[in-house]
Amino acid sequence: MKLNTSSGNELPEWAEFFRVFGLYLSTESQNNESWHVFTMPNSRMASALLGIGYLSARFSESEFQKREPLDTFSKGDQITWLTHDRKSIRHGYFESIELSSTDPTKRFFKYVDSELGPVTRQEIGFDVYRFSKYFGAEFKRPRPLSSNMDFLDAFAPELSIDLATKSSSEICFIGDMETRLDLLSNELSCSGHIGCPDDILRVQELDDVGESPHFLSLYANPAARSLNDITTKLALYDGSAAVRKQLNYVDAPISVVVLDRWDHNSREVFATLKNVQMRSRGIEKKLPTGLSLPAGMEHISWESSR
Amino acid sequence: MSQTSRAFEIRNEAQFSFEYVGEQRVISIRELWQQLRSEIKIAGGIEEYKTLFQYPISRVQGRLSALPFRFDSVECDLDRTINQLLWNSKSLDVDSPIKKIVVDICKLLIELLRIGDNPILPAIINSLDSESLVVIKDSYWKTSLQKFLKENTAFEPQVININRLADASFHKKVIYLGSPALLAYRPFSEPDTRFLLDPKASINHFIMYPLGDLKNIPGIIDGSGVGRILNYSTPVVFKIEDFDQEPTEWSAISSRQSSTKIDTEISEPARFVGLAGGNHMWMSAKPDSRCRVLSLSRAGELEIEARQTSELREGEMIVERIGKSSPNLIDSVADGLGAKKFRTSQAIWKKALQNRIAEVGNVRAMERILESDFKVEVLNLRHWAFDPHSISPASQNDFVKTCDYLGLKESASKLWKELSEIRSLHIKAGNEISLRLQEAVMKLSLDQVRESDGMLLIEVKDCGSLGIFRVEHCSDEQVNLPISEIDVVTSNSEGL
Repeated sequence: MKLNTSSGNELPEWAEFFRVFGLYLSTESQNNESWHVFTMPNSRMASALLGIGYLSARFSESEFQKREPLDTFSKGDQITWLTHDRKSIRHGYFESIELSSTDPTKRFFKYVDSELGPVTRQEIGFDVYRFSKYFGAEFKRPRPLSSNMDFLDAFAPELSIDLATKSSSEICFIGDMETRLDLLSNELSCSGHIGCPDDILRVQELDDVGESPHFLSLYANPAARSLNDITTKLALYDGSAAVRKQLNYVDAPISVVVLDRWDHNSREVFATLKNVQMRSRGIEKKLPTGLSLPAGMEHISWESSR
Repeated sequence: MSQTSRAFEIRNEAQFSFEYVGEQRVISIRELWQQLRSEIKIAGGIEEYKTLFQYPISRVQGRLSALPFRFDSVECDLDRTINQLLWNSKSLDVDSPIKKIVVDICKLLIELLRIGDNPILPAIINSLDSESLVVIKDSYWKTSLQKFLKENTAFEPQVININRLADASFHKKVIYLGSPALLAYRPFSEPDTRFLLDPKASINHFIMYPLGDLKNIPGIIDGSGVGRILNYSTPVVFKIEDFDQEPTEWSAISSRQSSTKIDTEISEPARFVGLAGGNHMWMSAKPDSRCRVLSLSRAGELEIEARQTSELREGEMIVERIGKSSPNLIDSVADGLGAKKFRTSQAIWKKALQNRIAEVGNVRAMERILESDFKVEVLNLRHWAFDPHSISPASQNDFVKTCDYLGLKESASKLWKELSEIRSLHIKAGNEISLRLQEAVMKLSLDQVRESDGMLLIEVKDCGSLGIFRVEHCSDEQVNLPISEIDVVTSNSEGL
């Protein structure tokens, strides 16, 4: 799971810091409301790395590995499945189950190789599962598991399929076009495979065409004309515009703000955040033990009851 | 990722050096200017004194202390300033303390004019190398300083103003002309110290007079430890408050705006925009107004992008018509498409409206008559009559009723038909202009734009004189101006 730069070098100190801080965030309580603010001389890629750290910790959690047994489904449930070539995911609604015992005309066989005699045919029963297509129409562009399966496999070898078939909005990235570019830029590598954060994070509305329900994170551009309320587990505000436009429309137990100090609204936005802290009576927290802030960065965290 | 790593690296290893320029007369002018400001305050802060003495001296003092031009150069403009100050001081009493200070300042300016040599130039020559970026306070001087340094040094450094530093790439060395306090100063706001907190180069060299006592550079989060303390080799003399409300060259130009407003002329909100090549314009600041900005397509080709004027930023290139004599683009192109033959009808309609307004006294009086007697919706009457861009009511019923009132009943039908033709040709012209401009812009190469010094003239059929200009300064303040003054590029020397 070790991430490097695209040229194969170790991640720089600040980048590794954000990845590890992301891991730490995955352990934070979802019952409280916590805020973490960082300022930097340049914030490109910071939120993307933080997101990767956070999700990679959650990759190993059981909820990601869970494959529901099919007999737990009932008609109308949403379901996803892999195509035979393991390259893409389909999505549909569970329509019906025909248990073998209810339809004697459906007979299935398996051939058994015997060391002692000829191959014999054994009759077995199969349950037949039918899936209706998503809204009655087939996807024109079924979503690939990742646009870069080699990179995803290298990053999460055991879990990549489970990850890819799990639909959930764990993180919301709120940032302008630079955030979007960061999520799509091939600046990382893992075991020799080069990839971008989106190959792992599968961010909705980056390379989708609006047909796929499969994503692990969301992207919201504060410059968009209409913005919806967002509920997520981790809100990553990248830049002052994200805070100014979206602060009151996001519900998340954990919020992280990354501010570029060259952004001329950073000071003003930080003052706004201090008001948030005062209003919520947030109690300041230190960085977790063992994690030290890289030189040139500023940090403040606080926590309040939700 | 490398961009962020570089920013950390530079920030953490940054060094700051301060080189003092020792022309005592420039420092004395500064001291006298402060006295002058106090005297003007004592005299009641009369605006006329500020306009005649305080502001011109402030501007000349700004040029002398932060630019390398020779003291006897056209750029420093000492000769004209001295004459102007002495002429203005004639209106003061002989024993007026203001007069005495102004005369003393003029004496010092005359001495500088005789000396000619500006000590800032040798300081720049000693510091400059092929990888230096030169940063100045006032964007007005960017182009002329770039040219001056090319002619007077062995290098061709890039020159930018401090407001553009946020977008600048990293350099080996940045040479700042002016003190940290001068460069950080913003009227009515906290100093902008981003260039000191997170510099764009490891070597940061300030060529400065000892103006402004900015030492502590705080981070954003209190006590975070990223703040800096600047260690000056010689104590700075003046406080940062001394820069209070000093006008820039651009504000001096914008204040020359003659607001000879005719009663009937339509006014609209506009903001001042300084342009490269010694030009400026007042740009429409109506909420829906747009300008045409040069941009690069994904394929790397030049294209025209329509942008809300409120989103225009310094450094962008805009397409505008030059000079008030140039026709309005829409009118001109629409005429080329066939609207010309209907203009007589437009003139008859507008003239009839204007005459009737004159007869009844004013626009409001005529609005009342049309509303009560003729049931016409007259929200735009002033525009119909006096705005050359407005054509007629959108409703034929309102138009016919208004014609009835104007005594144009007989010709109402023909007028309506022809004005409708003009309206549809105006819409067609809007699309046609976009196409023609796009075509003209596609003929340009990126190199032509880069090497243009921020100003390029282009030829577009029926569009008069058009230019592509780099925006050097955008004012935030809005003023109401007659529409004939808006969206027209004018030379900075006009009105001097």
